[in-house]
Amino acid sequence: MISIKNLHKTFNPGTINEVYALRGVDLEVQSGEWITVIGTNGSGKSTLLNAIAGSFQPDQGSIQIDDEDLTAFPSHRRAHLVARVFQNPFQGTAPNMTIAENLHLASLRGKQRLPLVHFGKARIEEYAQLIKTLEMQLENRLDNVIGMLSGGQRQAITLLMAVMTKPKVILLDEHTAALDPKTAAQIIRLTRRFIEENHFTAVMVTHSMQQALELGTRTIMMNKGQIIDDLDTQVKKRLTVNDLLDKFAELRKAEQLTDEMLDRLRREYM
Amino acid sequence: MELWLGAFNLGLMYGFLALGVFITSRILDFADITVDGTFTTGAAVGAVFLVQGMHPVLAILLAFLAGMVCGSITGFIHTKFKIDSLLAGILVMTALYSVNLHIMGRSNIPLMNSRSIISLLEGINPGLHSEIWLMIVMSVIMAIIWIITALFFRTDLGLTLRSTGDNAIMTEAGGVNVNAVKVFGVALANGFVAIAGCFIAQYQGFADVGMGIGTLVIGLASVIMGETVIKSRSIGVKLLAVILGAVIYRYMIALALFAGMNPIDLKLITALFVLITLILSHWSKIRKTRIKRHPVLYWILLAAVIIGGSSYYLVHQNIRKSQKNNQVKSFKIGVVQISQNGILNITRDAFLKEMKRLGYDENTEFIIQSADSDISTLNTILDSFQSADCDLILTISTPATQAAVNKISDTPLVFATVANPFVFGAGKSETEHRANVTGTYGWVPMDQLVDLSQEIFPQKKIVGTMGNPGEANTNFYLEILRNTVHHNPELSLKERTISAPTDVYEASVSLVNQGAEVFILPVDNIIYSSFDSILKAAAPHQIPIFSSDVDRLKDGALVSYGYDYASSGIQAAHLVQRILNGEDPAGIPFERYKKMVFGLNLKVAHDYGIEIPDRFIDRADKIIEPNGSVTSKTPTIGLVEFSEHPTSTSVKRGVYDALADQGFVNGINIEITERSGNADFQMINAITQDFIARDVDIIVPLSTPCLQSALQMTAKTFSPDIVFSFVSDPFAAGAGQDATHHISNVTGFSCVLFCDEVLDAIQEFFPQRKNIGVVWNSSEANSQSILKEFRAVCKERNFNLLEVTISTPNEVLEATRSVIHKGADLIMCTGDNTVSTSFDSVIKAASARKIPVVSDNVQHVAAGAVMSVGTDFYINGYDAGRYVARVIKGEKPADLPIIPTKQMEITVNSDIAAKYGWEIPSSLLDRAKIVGKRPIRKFAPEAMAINLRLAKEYGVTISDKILATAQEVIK
Repeated sequence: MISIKNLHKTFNPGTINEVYALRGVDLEVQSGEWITVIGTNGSGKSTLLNAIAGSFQPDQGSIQIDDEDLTAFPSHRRAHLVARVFQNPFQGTAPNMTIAENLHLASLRGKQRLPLVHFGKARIEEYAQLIKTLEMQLENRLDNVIGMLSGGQRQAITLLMAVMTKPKVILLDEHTAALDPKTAAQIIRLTRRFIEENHFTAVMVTHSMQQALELGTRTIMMNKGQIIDDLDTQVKKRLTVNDLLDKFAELRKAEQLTDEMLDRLRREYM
Repeated sequence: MELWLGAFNLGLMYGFLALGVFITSRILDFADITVDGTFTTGAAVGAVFLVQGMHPVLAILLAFLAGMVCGSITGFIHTKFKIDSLLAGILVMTALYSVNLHIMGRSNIPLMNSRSIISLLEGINPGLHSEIWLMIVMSVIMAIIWIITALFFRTDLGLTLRSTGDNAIMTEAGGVNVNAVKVFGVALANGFVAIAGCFIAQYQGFADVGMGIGTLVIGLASVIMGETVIKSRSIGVKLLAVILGAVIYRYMIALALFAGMNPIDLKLITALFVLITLILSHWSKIRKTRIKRHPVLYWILLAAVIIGGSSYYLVHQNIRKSQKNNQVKSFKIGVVQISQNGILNITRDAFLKEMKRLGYDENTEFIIQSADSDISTLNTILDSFQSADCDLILTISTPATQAAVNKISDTPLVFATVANPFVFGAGKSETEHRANVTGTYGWVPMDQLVDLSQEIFPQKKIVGTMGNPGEANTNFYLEILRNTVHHNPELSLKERTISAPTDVYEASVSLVNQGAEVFILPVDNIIYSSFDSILKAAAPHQIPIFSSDVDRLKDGALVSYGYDYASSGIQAAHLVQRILNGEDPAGIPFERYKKMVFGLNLKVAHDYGIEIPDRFIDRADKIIEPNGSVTSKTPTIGLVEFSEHPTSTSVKRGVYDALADQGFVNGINIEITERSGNADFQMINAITQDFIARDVDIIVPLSTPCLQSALQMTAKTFSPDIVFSFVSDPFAAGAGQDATHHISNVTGFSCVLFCDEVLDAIQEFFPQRKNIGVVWNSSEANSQSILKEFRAVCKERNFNLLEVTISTPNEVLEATRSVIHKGADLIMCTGDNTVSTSFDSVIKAASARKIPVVSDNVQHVAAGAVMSVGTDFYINGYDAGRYVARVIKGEKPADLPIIPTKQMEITVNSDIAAKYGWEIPSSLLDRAKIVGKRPIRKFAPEAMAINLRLAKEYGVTISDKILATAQEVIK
C-alpha cells in the first residue's frame, strides 16, 4: 500500500538551524496494516508522517501509495488518498464554522468545490446520524460552531471527519497527546473502532509505549532520522513497556545519555 | 431630506465595498489594501465603457471582472511568492494608480451626458422623488445581492472559502488548494469593491483617479460597525450586518456634517471609532464578559444619536423658520472646496471678504466645507447643503464643481477657480449652460508663458516641466504646453511626472541633468506646495523658473504669469450677489478671470546675472527688487474724504464696487488707505502729504477740498495720479480748463448741480414758494461755482435767492435761522461740504418753521429733507472707481476726460411730506423715488373709474378733484 524508498530531508539547509531530519528512510506498509511509530524527540517520526501527507518535498527518495508515485504531489493532491488527524485538537476543524459545516467540508475531501449548494436538509440529517456514532450527544448541536466544543469533542469530530470519505491511508500524529487521560482513552477507543471496522491502512505516531504496543499490527522505532527497529505483531505481543525502555537505554549507552535524560525519557513514556 | 436619503443610497452603494472588505478581512483573514486601487478601477472601467455608450449593467459587470483581475494579482503575489498580504496589497494598489490613469486616459471622466444606471433608473421612475426611487431600487438590488452572497457561502465553494480563512491547514489537508482559494477570494472581494466604485462614479456623475483614497478604512469601519450593531454567528446575518454597517457609516458622516463638524476631522473620527470599537471588543474578551451584552449598548447609543440628531434637526428647522420670519432677507450660502490647499483657500478667503464688503455679513450664513480630497465626502457635503436649504452653493475647484453640477439642479451654483468648466458638462459655451449654474473660470495661457520665455531667453531651447497627471487641470495645462512646444521646431520639452511632494526634488534634478535650460511650470497643487524643491535643484544651475502661479514669484521664480486667484473669488462674489438679488443664473454668462498678473523677480535675475530688458520691467505688475523688497505693483490707493457722512459713504461704496467689478479688491490685489479729514482743511492737507510720502500710486479725493489739497501737493511733481469724485466743479478747484484740457495727473467725475431740474421740481412740489434760502461756505470752491450758476438760473426763472455764508459747521444752525428770518420759505442745500456735515442743524432750523428743505443730495432725504434733486452719488463714485481701475491698468489720467456723472435722481420723503401736509404732485410721483414708511396711494388716472351710484348708496362723498382725474364716471 505505502512504499517509501530512501527518503532524505534537510530543513533550513546551510543555516544555523539546519536539521537533517530524515536520513534514508525505507518503509513498506501493507494494506490493512496499522503501524505505530515511536522515537525520541527529534527522531523524525512526525517528519515521516508529514512526508507521507505531502507537507514538504523530500530532498531525495520516493513515496508511493497504491503504486502511484506521489513524491511530487502537494498535500492537497493526496487528500483523496490520505487523511490526517493532528496532535492539536484545534488544527483539525474550522472553529468559526458549525459542526454540520465542518462535516460537510470533510465530505468534500478530494472532490471539486463547485459553487453549488449540496449542503441541504438531507445532508444535515445524514451528518446527524453519523455524529451519533461518536456517542457524545452532539447530534442536537449540529448548528453550534466548533469553537464552542471541548478539545476532546473536537478531536473526536476530527477523527470522524478523517474517516468519513474512507481514504486509503489514515495518518495519526500523536492525536491524543494534548488530551487528559480519560478523554485520550475515549479517543483511542474511537480510533481503534474506526480503523478496525474499515480496515484502514494507518500510520500512528505516539509518545505512549503502552499505546505503541497495544495498538496496531506493527511498531517501528525511529532515532536520528532513521528506522532503527521494526517489530511485527508477533514480536509486539511478547514485548513489554520495559523492554522498549531497555531499547532506549541501549541507545543511551550508544549515545552517552545521562541518567537524568533517561529519567526524563521514563517519565515521558510511562 | 436629500442629506438623509443620499446618505442611505450612498450607504447601500458602499455596501458592495463593505461586502468586499468583509470577505477579505473577516472570511479570508487577509489584510487587503488593494481595494483603495480597485475602487477606482471599477469606476474607471465603468466610466470608459459608459462613455462609449455601453449598457450600464454590462459596464458594472465589466467593472466587477476588472476588480477580480486586480484582486487576483494581489492574491497571486501573496500566495506564490509568500509576500506578506499587506505588502502585496500596497504594491498592487500603488501600481493600480498608474493603471487607472491609463484606463481613463486622463484623471477624470465626466459621466453627466452618458447613460448610467442612475439615468436608466430615472427612466423607469414611476414619478417618485428621484432619491426615494433610487433608495427603493438600491434596496431591492442590495437585497438580491445579499441573498446571492449568503447563498454562495453555503455552496461547496463558499464553505471552502470560509474554511480556508478559518483553518487553512485543515482545509489543505482536506484536499483543497488553499492558495487558489485565497486568490479567488481576494479576487471576488475586489470585484465587489469595483462594483462599489462603479456605482459611486455613476451616482456622483464622474470617475476620478483620486476617488479611492481611504476606501479600505471606510470598508473596515462599515464592517466593524455592522458587526457591533448586529452580533450573530450566522453568515447570512453577518453579511446583512456589514451592508447595514456601510449605511450606518454614511449616516454618521452625514450627521457629523449636519452638526457642523469640520470634514477634515471625519477621517480622524472614523479612525478613532474603529480603534475604540476594537479596544472594546478586545477588552470584553479579556474580562470574559459576554459579548452579547454589547449590542444593547450599541443600539442604545445608536438610538440616542438618531433621536439627538433628529431633534436637533427639528429644533434647528424651527429656529430657522422663525429667523426667516423675523428677518427681511437672510441668506444661507454653502461653500465647498475639494481640499484645503493654498490656491483654493486664496479664492475662498477673497470670496468671503468680498461678500462681507458687499453687505452679506450678519444676514448671511456661510457654511464652509472642505472635502479633504475625498469625493464621497464631497457628495455628502452637497447633500448637507441641500438639506440645510442653502440659497446658493459656491463650489471652488473642478472636482467640487463637477460633483455639484451633476448632483444639484434646483439650487443656484456658482463656481470659482475652475480652469475649464466646459469639459465636464457645466455648459457648452459661456452663455449656453446649465440653468442653475454660473461661475468664473480661466486657464493660464501656457503658450504665452513659453513665448515670454523665448523673448527673454532666445537662446534657451530646452524646456523642462513637470506635473501630477492625477490632477485634471495639470493635464490640461501640460497638453497646451506640449502643443506649443510641438509647434516650435526649435524647442524641445523634457517632462517629468510627479505624484507626491516627495517626487518633486528628484524630478527637478533629473530635468536639470537632462539639460533643461528653463523651467515652465503649470498650475499644480503639488508644485504649489513643494516649489522649494524645484528651486533647490534649479538654483545651483541658474535655471530660470517661469511659473504660472503668481504666488511663487516671491519664492524664487524668475517670472510668474497667471491669475490672481483672489480675483476669481471676487468675481464669484459678484455673480453670487446678482443671483441673490434675484437674477436667474441661467441668464448670467460664465465669466473668465479678469485680471492677469505678470511678475518679475529681479533679485533672482541679479543673482543669476541675467539682464532683464526694461520693456519687461515696465510691463510687470509685480516686481521683486534686487534688494528683496517688493515694489509690489499691487497698486496702492490713498482715499481721502472731507468728513464721514452718508453721502461720502455712498460715493465710497461706488468706488469700491467699480474696482471690485474690475477685479480689484482692497487688501487682496490693491491696497486702499482710507482717511477722513474730519471737516478740517489742515487735516486734509496733512493726509494728502502723508499719501505722497508713502508713495501711493493714486490719490482718490472725495469732495472739492480734498481735490484742491491733492492738486496743491502735486502741483510740482504731477505725481501721483489723482482720480476724484464727489466734486461739483473740478475746474474751479483748479483741475484744468475743460473736459480734455486738464492737469496731466488728474481726472475724475464731477457732480454738477442740476439747476433747472431742481427748480422744476420745486415749482411742481411747492408752486407758492418762490424764496429760496441757501447757506454755504464761502471758502469752498465748489460752492462758489455752484452758487454762481444757481444764482443765474434763479434770476432767469423768477426765484428769489437768499444767501448766507459761513466758514465752519458750527455756524450752520444760526445761518439757517437767519436766512429763514430773511424771508426764505424753502431751504436749498447745494452740496456744500460744511453744510452737509451739520445738516441736522439745517433741518432743526427749518422744521421749527415748517419750511421744506430741498437738497441736491439724496442722503439728505433720509436725514430730514423732503426732496432731493441731484447726482446719484453712488453712480458718481462708481464712475470714478472705473477711472481708478483704468489708471491701475496703465491708462494715463491725461487721456481720461473730466466729465460730470449723468445720472440724476429725484427722491421724495413721503413721511416728511405727510407730516407737514405737503401733497406730493402726481407728476413728481411718476419720476421720483419715494422713501418713507407711509404708503403713497398712487392712482393711475387713465385706469380709474368711479361708481357714483354706489357711492351715494353708501353715503360717501367723492371730491371733485378725484372725479376730475377719473377716466370713467358712472352717474
